[in-house]
Amino acid sequence: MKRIPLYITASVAVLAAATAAHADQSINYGVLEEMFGEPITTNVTGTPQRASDVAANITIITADQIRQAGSRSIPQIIGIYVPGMDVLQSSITAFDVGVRGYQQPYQPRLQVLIDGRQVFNDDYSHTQWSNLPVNIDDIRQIEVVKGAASALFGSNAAGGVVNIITYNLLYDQSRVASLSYGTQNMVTGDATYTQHLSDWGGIKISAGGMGGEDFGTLRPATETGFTANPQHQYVTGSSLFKVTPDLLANMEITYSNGKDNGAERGFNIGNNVDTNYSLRGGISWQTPYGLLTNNNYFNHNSELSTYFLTPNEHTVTELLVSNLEDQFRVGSANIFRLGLEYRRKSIQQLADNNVDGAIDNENKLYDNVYTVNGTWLWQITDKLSWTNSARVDHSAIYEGGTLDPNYLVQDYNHSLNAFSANSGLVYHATDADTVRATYGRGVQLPSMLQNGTDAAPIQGGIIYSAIGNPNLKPTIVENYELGYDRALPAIDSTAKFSVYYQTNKDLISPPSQIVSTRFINFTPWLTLESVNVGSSHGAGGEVELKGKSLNGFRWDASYSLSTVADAETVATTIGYNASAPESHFRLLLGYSSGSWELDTNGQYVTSTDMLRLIDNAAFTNVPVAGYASIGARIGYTINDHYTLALSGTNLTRADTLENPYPAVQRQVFLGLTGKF
Amino acid sequence: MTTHFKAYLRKATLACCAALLFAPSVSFATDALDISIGLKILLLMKERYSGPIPVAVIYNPAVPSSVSDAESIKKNIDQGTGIPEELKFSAYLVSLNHAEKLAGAKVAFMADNLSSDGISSVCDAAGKQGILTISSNINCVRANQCVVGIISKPRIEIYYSPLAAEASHLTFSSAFIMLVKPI
Repeated sequence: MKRIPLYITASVAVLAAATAAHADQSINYGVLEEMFGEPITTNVTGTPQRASDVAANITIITADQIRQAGSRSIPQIIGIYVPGMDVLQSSITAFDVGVRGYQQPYQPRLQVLIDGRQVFNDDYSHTQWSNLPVNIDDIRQIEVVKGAASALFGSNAAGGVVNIITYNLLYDQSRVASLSYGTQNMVTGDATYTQHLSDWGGIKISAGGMGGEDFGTLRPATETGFTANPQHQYVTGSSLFKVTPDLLANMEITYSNGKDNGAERGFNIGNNVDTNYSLRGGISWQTPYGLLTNNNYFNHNSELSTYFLTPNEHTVTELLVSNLEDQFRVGSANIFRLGLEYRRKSIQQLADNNVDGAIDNENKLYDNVYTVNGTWLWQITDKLSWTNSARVDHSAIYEGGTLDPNYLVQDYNHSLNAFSANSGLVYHATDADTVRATYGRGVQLPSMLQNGTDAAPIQGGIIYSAIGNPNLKPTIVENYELGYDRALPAIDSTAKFSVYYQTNKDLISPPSQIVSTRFINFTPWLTLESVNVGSSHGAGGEVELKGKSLNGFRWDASYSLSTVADAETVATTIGYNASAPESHFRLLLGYSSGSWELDTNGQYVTSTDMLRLIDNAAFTNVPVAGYASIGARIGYTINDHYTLALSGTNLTRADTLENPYPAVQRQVFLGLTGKF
Repeated sequence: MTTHFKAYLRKATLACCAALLFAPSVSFATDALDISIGLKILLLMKERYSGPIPVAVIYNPAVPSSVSDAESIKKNIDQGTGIPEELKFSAYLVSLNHAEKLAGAKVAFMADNLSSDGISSVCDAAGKQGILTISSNINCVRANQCVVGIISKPRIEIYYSPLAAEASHLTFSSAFIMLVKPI
């Protein structure tokens, strides 16, 4: 009889020994959080974990904290609560979020997801925060991971991840509506309605929007035209059904449309009209071999950008994601997650926006990414665990139309492989002390526009053709971190300390490098592209003390230090050095009593010196002095359903210059929220 | 040889279980938070519970501290402190010597100081009736008698016996399985 190879026998034995996960696939975050006395996340290993057990620097912003922040902007809320995260606000609705000193407009290093679906846009690699299809009152928690997390979330998570988790269709009855009005004539309105269908399913619909006037603060002459009234509308529908007790199926559809003025990839202010829709469907299936999950979604994005160069850039980006994964336990000490993923990205810059349309007509670029990934969580002892994740991406890029002739078709058609990894030890030294040591290797692939496609706007009689560069290498980010948490029950607090060191190799510049100068019909044509510009190193840490007492007080004080040292070529093209404040102090104080809730948040940041493009001149470093700002919220619960709240940001001054972009202004809102 | 080894292993396992179960009495008085956590587990199970859910509180009539712990557990459940609003419970006391009174219960809480003869038969009877057995004494879970063990202080830890769960035909959500500590 033919012998069965040992490795097959071993594999079958491992699977047979796996403790099958049973019943509901959808996580009941609320009950689990109440049971364990702390938030639950899947953001670090892909499997549910207690926040205190994860091998990463994670902050979970709860629904209560979101409400108490007094802001309806997710980037502002992250900036209020998460030490080491800096917010670049360049208009009333335009934001970028930088992680640990690495700040830039059109931030490419932070992956952003809503319920696990990527809302980060692969065109320029950035997140259009002003146009997210989510009702902020329907968010259960915002999970923020600092440090490279590509092994789990792919190439867009080189600096960190933000996962926005909304209330669950099966377990939470989210029925909420809110309306607010404030300075800058800003009006917001949002509503969510959830209907449970007995215990076999649920549907949820959310819709909302905002409108207002942009800040009227000083801006360069070439940017005075970009003050159009920002607006945003969205609608989402989702459903979750138990097909059988072991099989759960979900569907989701979203649409959002927004217009804002903000900092562009070229370090100048422009105007964006952004339209998105997405479709999603998937299943979770309990099997004897673990929890099998299949998730599929399709994102469509149309982005029309206008800045001092005319005419417009109209970019259409599409993303199809299909993944399959299995989570299972082996014995009592090991949890595994194995995954396969396929991603198809495409980008097209529409010819009607290119003056050289005859050459670049219908240019299109495709990227097929095939991924294998896995996580192994080993509970070595009751106190010590070791988490390892690895991911291999094979990216096959090819031309779908006629791209810029500066490169040949065989240049555009190329492939690359990327390896990312995370490893972390968590040691609960005592019941009060937890130590973490983590390593992350992140990969930031070039954006679709950096890889190919062509935008050729004309300005001042010169054609500026920003083309792709198929020779770009991915940026490799490595993050080393040591963290220590100590519970201080005597003062109802927790103290957190972390220090990190980060290296970045082969950073990619914006498309600003002139690679050729040609003439078309006597018109000069400058061809620009992105290039690898070298390395940068970052080091720093965070200290935080936060807690709350039974008599209604809450507090959160933190200090973060972020130092960045760029190679000279990085400093002159991206300028991470001093792009974010080196020191950032935060203090939050809150008090609840009866129907009243009072919260204040203050911060002081040191100076910055960001690169800026002003009046189409060369990049210039613009020093901005340190500043302090204060926000606050007073909430009054009228009855079981309604809450009235007065909130504001930048309350101490009419205008605050926070960065080289137009100064932000004081904002005050009065809002009414109803829960049913 | 193999048969002897298996027999030896079986005896050793039984001895360990017995040692754990009948170890000198150590106090594991049930905390109100243990009860709250334990009852929330019902929301993470495959079976859907509704209506008044009978909860048996097992006690040792021979040990006063066991009786008082059981009364405290019953009082906590009756008061509903920290109990999920979705579920309604009705608690009643069951002496260790009267396992037959478990009939109809969905959950059985083990009060303190049950390290006497009856616990094994009570857990066996509970398992046959698909009752979720919960204890603050982790040794009960280690012996694969109780399905779930809860320690709420200083840090919340939930232990789980897959063998006891399987014997009771109880299944939990995958998230619960990933978050607890299997024995």
